[in-house]
Amino acid sequence: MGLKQGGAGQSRLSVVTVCMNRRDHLWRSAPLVAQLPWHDEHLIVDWSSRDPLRREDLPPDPRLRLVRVEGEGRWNLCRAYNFAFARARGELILKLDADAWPTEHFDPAAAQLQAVDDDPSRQPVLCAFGSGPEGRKGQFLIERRLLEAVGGFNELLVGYGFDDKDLLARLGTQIGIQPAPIPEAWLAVIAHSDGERAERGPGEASATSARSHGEAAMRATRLANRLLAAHCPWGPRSRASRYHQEHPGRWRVEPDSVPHPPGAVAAEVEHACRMTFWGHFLAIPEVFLEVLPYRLFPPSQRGGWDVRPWHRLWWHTGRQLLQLPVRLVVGAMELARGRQGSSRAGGGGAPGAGS
Amino acid sequence: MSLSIVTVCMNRSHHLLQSAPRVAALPWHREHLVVDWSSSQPLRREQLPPDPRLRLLRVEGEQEWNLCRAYNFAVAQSRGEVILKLDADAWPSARFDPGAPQLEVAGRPCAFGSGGEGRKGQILVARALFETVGGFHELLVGYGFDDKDLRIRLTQVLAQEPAWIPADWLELISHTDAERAGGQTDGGALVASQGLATMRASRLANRLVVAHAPWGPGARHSCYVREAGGAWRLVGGSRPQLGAEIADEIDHARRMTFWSCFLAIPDIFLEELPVKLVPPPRSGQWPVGWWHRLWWHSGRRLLHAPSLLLSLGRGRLARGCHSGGPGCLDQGR
Repeated sequence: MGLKQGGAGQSRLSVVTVCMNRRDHLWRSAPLVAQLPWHDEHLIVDWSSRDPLRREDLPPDPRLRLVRVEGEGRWNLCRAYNFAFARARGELILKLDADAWPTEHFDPAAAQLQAVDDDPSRQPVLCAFGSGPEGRKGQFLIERRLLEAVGGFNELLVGYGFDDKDLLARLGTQIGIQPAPIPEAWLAVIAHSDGERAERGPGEASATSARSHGEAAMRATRLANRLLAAHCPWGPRSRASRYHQEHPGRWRVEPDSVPHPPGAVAAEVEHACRMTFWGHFLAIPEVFLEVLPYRLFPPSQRGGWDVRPWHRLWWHTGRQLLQLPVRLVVGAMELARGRQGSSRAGGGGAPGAGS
Repeated sequence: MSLSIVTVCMNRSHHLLQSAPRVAALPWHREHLVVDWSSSQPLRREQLPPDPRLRLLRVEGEQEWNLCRAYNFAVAQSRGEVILKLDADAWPSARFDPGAPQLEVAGRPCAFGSGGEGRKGQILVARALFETVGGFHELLVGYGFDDKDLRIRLTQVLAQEPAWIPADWLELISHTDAERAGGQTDGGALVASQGLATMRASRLANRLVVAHAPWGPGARHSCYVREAGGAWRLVGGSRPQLGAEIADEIDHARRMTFWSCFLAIPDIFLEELPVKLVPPPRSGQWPVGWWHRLWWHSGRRLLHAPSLLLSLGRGRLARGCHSGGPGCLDQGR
């Protein structure tokens, strides 16, 4: 079953996990990973958590290796995992978020995890992405050389969303690989709300306005990352961030090496993000937001949105008032249809549905 | 260096009749290939200048303008080693020098127009380079991002930015957004608003297409077959398609952007409304009904009033400019 018993090969497998302030998730997932028989290494990167992860808090599995990156102000999945991939020792990589673990069904050597290759003359390759709900799509098993052939994750993407889809698209375009799906039952994932994913506390995400805030922030980063991927495609020749080791196991980025989008692209993305967040959170159409004073609807700072008391006041008053006629129209049409189906029947899914 | 000028035209014969004689007066090209992309009134050779270098081809059966597929077809049919992609509303000025070293990158012609009025869509490029990146991205439709996407992919291959064609080397007939989007030339603020909404929807959709389905040399292009009468036609099933899930996401974003911009209804409310009230485009055209126009003239204006008042607030212009401006995406095609 496992790699060491033959199957798809004798490749060494590294499970790679990056964690920033998600210690509670890791404390659940790491012991479950430590019980697995088929990996050679579980590399955990602590991405500048406020309270540094301590080796003694993690399972005493000798395969588990803890590395810390200092000085990162915010979560950056793409840079964090590219750093981790570069430090992992296996020829096979299982990228596993801190809130995920393989179930007993998971078989990393299974033939069904082999990708469909546009060039059938090539040797079969292991490359599969998670399928199903709750963040499973962000977990993947891949041969290291494939990851290197596309340059890993696009380091210009920030926040949440599209990192995995961008990688999938480039595996197809740049090297002609269509990854297989990892069956849903092979992965277990801790559920999150949008508010939690958007780096707000779980408690904050309980109120309706906070949920709306979380959803607006997610939509903004999802759009931003799509625009960045379109304007700044990533590839094997893209310059990734470089890090230096300050002490054994403690790394820090060389600030000048962090890639940034060109000025015009950054301006377009910032504008789109600002319109999306405030447009969604306050339900003010973009065409009006554009002519309103900039300082009333500022861009995000280090990934956070500066929601002031007057924004909240509008959310609880004007926004609700504007929604009334919409609800009336929807209700009237439902009545007219004899209450058949919902108002969304036949509608396209909201863009917030995918990452 | 043999140079082919390629021009594709769909229902823009009035532009071509202005530009083609100017192109025919140029001394430096070997061929001017004009492709009639299923214009409702077919272009006739006798309408065009009697320049023996001018060659007219027609593609039958296309319902909508599709710049990327149309120009990929045209470049494939052209014969020159260097291509000047020139829209029907553009022509080179007397200053244009296709052999100028300033239009070369790494010893090969590769330059994009600079300046306003659609100049950025005019491109001089070595055929080999164009083919190396797979040409235009055939999944893009409507207007916008086609040239930027090509430029981005050329930059990746060259490891440096393509050159710029000076603004005064190209002449262009100016258009409004409404004209570019649907051919309407008047109709006041409502038509202008509809044109802007159409352009924004198309620009965003094309960016999303590129993000989800990047183009490259291995991409499958549309194929065409020559019919008995000499015209060309798309081979059924050869046109590349987006995956269903991606197409759904992009159709949704396009629909939300158009109606949100045109009716000034935030997309979170639009998402709650029945699709038949805010429907997707049909054959590339947005089905604007009388109730949309009624809302545009009444509710939209009413909602606009408070934001107009607030926009008089100080600091808007300065910060607006800093942010890339309200029309950031508009200026950026």
